[in-house]
Amino acid sequence: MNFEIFLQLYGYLALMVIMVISLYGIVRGASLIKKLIALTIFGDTANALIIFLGFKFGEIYPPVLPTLKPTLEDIAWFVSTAVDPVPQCLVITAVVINMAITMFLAFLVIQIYRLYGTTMVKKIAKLKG
Amino acid sequence: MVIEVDLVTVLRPLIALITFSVVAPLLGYIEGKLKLKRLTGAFATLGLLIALLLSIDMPKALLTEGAVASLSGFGPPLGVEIRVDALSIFMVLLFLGLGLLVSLYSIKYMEHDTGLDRYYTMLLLLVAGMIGVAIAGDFFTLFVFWELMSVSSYSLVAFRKYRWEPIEAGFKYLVMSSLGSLMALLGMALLYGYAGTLNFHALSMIFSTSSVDPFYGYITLTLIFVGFGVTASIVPFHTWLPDAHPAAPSPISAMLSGLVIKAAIYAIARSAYTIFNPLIFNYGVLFTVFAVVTTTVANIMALLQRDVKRLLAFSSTVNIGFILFGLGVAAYGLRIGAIAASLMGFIGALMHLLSHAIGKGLLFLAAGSFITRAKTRNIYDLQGIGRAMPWTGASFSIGLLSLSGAPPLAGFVSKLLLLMSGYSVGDAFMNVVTSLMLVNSVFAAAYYLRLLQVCVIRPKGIRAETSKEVSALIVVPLVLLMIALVAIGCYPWPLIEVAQKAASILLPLP
Repeated sequence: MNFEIFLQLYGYLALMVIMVISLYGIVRGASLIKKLIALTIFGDTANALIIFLGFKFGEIYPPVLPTLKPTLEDIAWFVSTAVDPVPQCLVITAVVINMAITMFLAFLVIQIYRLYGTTMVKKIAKLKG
Repeated sequence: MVIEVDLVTVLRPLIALITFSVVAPLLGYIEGKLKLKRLTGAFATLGLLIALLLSIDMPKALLTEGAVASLSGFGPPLGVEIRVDALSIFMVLLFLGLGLLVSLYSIKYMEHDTGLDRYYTMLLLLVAGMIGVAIAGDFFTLFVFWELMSVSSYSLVAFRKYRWEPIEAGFKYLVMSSLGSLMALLGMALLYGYAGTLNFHALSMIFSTSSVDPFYGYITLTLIFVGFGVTASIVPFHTWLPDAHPAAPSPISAMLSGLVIKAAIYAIARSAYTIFNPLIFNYGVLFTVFAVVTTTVANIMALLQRDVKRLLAFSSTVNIGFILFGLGVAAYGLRIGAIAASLMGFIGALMHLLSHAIGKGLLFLAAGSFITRAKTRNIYDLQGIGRAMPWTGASFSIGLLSLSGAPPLAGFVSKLLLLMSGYSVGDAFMNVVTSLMLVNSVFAAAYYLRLLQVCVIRPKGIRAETSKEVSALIVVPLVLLMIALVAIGCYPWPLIEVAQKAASILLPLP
């Protein structure tokens, strides 16, 4: 089997598996911290998958045009060699947003710990009565 | 015909809102130094008012198929695009109008809370995010503004961070909703992987040819539907809502229930109808089935509630089901060739979106002022409180009657349109589904009227005896919303015309 196709298939499969595992972690995690970690893993996996979608094998260049005033040939060369920049734009936006969400989530966990003295889901449910 | 406009002209309300939200913390600091109460609140209300005034020339785009603005030099499909059409205007004016009244209500209502500078910053950013969602012309812009909206609403739900309830509800909302956004992001990325563009218009061109792989289309449609459906609180993704709405401060409950879930329904409608042609992709059945499940489950849950805000929260899910039903009828009708029914379904969905946004906003605000006086959320402890607070009680009753579908109020018009559209498709499946919706509608009226009976009609209870009317600053937004409900109910034609324009642009009519 061609190595590139193998790598691509393996990559997609691995990412899918990680995604399912992290979903399980979000739903069934015993501690809120574990839920937080699972959520960040899910987000990163989704981002990696998007990067994968835009990736190109073979001889590639970074998605930067070498000239300021590109001619049509330059653009044709660019399209045929460079990695697609749009998925990377999407991912960098999503990463920044995920950082904000993770920080806020961490704050909420800390606040829950202050109020209940624990982050275990079962104990919190018991304390609430 | 689509007209080209300058980017800055279209973005003026957004720029105003973001400027005001950046300056708001500064005002909060001054407020603290000078011991001036209500300064930040007045400032935020002014910001929303200015944004509303700046968007007043937007309806000009109604005369055309839409106004398009893009970054100079990078037109679509390469760059970002802002597209304002009839549907966007409908949503933007709703967001700004209700946002303004909520902000006005908050000035007095939130007076005793600390950290009001953060509150108003987030409120302005929330409205800005929703407007951005409504005017986005491609998925990238939509995603960015979607996250702006979501992040501000998470922090607003957990605003009273010293109590356990908002913190827990915020945690649940955050985890579920951010999972949903990631799903939608994956759906967008798959669309990009297939079509090579994120622009709505270009995508609709590519997906309207019948050579599209239907499997691929359905996968992306499912991901986007689930992703936005979490925020729209479609059953079975609704579990965050009955916790988050009661836990948030009342003005924020009104924003969440009135607007945020509507923005999500808008995102579903926009992505489904522009990209996936109902003639090729058969999602009308999916939407209607989800609508029936949503209304039925939420109705049963709402009947069991004793907490007034929780009951209203479940009723939001019920009404999302009604809106989704209208969208489903529109797609289904187009597919089997019942064009009139399909148009009516879409118009009904938009009108219900409007009447529910105003009605539920009003109910949450009124319930908030009951709660400040009676210090309880239990329905039976609020017995007869409407008699002690006549203005709030009157607007609360009008809101309840409108949601239960009593003529001549706004809710009657929209429910009538929805049910009529379902029956006029005229096939067996749709008749059954519409009858189920009719039963659900009566079912919903039952608990609205029970709420009305307990809170307004019964003689005053112990807590109502000691309650008196809230101050004028709180009553004014309530009365304005009440007038809006009556006015729309008596004279809905201009709005129906706008909705029809939106439908004719969005639906691929033959």
